[in-house]
Amino acid sequence: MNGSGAMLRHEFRMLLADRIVWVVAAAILLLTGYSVQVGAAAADHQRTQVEQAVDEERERYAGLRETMTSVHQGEVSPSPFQDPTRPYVMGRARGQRFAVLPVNGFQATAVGQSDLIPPVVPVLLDGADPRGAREEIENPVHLLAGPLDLAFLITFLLPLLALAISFDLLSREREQGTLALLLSQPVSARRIVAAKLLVRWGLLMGLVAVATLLSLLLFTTGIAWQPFLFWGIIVALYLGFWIGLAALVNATGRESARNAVALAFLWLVFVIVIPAGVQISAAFLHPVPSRAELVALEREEVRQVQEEASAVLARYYDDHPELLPEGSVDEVDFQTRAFAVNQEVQTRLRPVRENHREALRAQQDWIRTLRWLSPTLVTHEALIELAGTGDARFGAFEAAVDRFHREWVGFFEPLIYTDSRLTPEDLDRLPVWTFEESSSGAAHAAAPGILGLLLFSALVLGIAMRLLRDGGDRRWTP
Amino acid sequence: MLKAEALSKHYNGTPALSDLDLEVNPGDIYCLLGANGAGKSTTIRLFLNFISATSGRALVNGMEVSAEPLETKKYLAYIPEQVMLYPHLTGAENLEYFAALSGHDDYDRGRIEEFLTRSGLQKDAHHERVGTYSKGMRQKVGIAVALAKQAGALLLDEPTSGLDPEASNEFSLLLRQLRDDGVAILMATHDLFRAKEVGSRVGIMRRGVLRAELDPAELGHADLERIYLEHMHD
Repeated sequence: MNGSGAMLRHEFRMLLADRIVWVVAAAILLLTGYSVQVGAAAADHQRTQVEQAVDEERERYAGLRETMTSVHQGEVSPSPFQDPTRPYVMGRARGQRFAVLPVNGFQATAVGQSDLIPPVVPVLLDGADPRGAREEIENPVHLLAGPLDLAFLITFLLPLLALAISFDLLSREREQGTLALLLSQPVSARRIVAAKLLVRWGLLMGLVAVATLLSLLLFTTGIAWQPFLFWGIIVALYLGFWIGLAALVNATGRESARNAVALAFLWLVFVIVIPAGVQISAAFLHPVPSRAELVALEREEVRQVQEEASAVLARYYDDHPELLPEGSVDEVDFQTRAFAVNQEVQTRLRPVRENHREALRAQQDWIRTLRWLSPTLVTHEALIELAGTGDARFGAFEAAVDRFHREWVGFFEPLIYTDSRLTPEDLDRLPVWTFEESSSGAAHAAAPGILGLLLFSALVLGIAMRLLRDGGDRRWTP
Repeated sequence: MLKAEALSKHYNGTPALSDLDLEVNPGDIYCLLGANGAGKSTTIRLFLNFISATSGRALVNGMEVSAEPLETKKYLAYIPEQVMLYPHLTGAENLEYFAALSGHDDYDRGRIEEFLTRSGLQKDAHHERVGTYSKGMRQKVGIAVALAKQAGALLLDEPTSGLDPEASNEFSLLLRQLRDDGVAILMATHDLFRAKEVGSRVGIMRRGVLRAELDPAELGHADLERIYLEHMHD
């Protein structure tokens, strides 16, 4: 193609001659540095929380081993509420294990849900609820008002910066009068626009990629290359969508000022209105019962079950006669009674909790489905999944905590009902927390986003190129 | 080289150009005379495929413009009434870019300056930013762009409007040179004097219709003006 190289060189030069490009470049470099630092600080905070919990648990267990040894040797006799050889004491605060979520290698790129879900969950007989602080799925709200992390910068601000250097890519040529001379040459408007798009896209992509790499090197311990690669693909396609949208608006042949207004409006629709609408509709269509109600219900159940405590206990020993210690049900230890009450409360609350979770899940599904309405939502979802701060990884964490809690209760239950005592050796038999990271990796996390964004970008570019075809009276001609 | 066959252009039913038949051969300078809105610019824009014909055909070198929009532009150079260039670039850089787009990306600096000099742009302005140029100087770069393209046909839309008499005269000389090199030139103009000077044929247009075709060699200046005014006022 004649002049392709000259065209790209020329466009690049024209771009650099524009002061706004330097403002955009400076903004990208500074904001990227700042936002990666924000993400890295959040990740560091989580790392510290996890390390502290692990250290605390190790020290506590060392102390417990000593105390248990002393108790066994008859050196001390602590009160029944402090005695770690009693399974009910050990299974609660004194012996609690921490379920911890380690920091993901690429986590500095997106805070995501990590500031909504605690990475350290104490697992004890009474319960283990990582959703303690979490009312609802807050994806889009988070997107609107979350911390200035890299994912926010990419999804929210980068489109504005991209539009600032592309809103007048064809209209300016017409307004400054150069389009007439350009189009009298044997080059099509499509090629001219394509060169402009390519140069802008390349410049922004280069800036963002370099700034991100530098920031990751500066603020984190290293770069996870595989997620970074997929991150790059997502960002490239998302940028492609916005620059393609600028081309589409330019191809309608209006003046620059109107293009700017139209693009600002489209930014508002895709970045603010649709995400907010998705959130509002989710809260409206799939309301989550309030947590306060749940707590009130729990208290009521506790009161009722306590009144029927003897009956509850009797029922249990009816089912498990082999566990009944010597004597009658009425003489059973206070702690066994408390455990039985607690278990019964948990059992009665299970359907309510399950409803609560089901509602959350329905809301989450609704949001996940509707995210296809806006490339911003698609991109945000993909970026936080890549960073390991999205629903997929936290869902896995919650499920693992749930499993571990059941294992924990299962271990202590027979010991409590038989009123047994633990030995220091039993400490090594206690369930241990482990978290298996999903093996599907970055490609799996990014694939739906890549497909969705390919569609979005292809759609806007396709329409733009169709409007820019030769022949017929086109509004964009000089 | 340039040929219009029953070429018509309507905007929402209002004719801007009606059934134009004209032919410009290599070595011809065809001057289209007429008031604003007579259809002169419409004709030129049709040859450039900036707009498409309602009916009829515009042909460049035997090819229909609407069927071969890019191929036909290889044979066309165009100088608009206002040559607008990239203000951040120098005259030489502007020329270099447009030459590259037209397929001549092999011109060295000497060749570029030669085109600029031939177009009458003073040497010390070659490497000044176009932002500092006067209208006449930009017009000269426009001419250089056309020269550098080495096209077989030249479309001119009021090219001398706003030029001082001296520059205008230089421009006429240049047109004659191109004519002698065998370029087919179609020029829309208000300037009866210039048309009589350089034109090998003159067409008078009014309201989209070609009213008369004259041979200026057979007419005096006064005759041309009289005939022109006759067509304007009936």
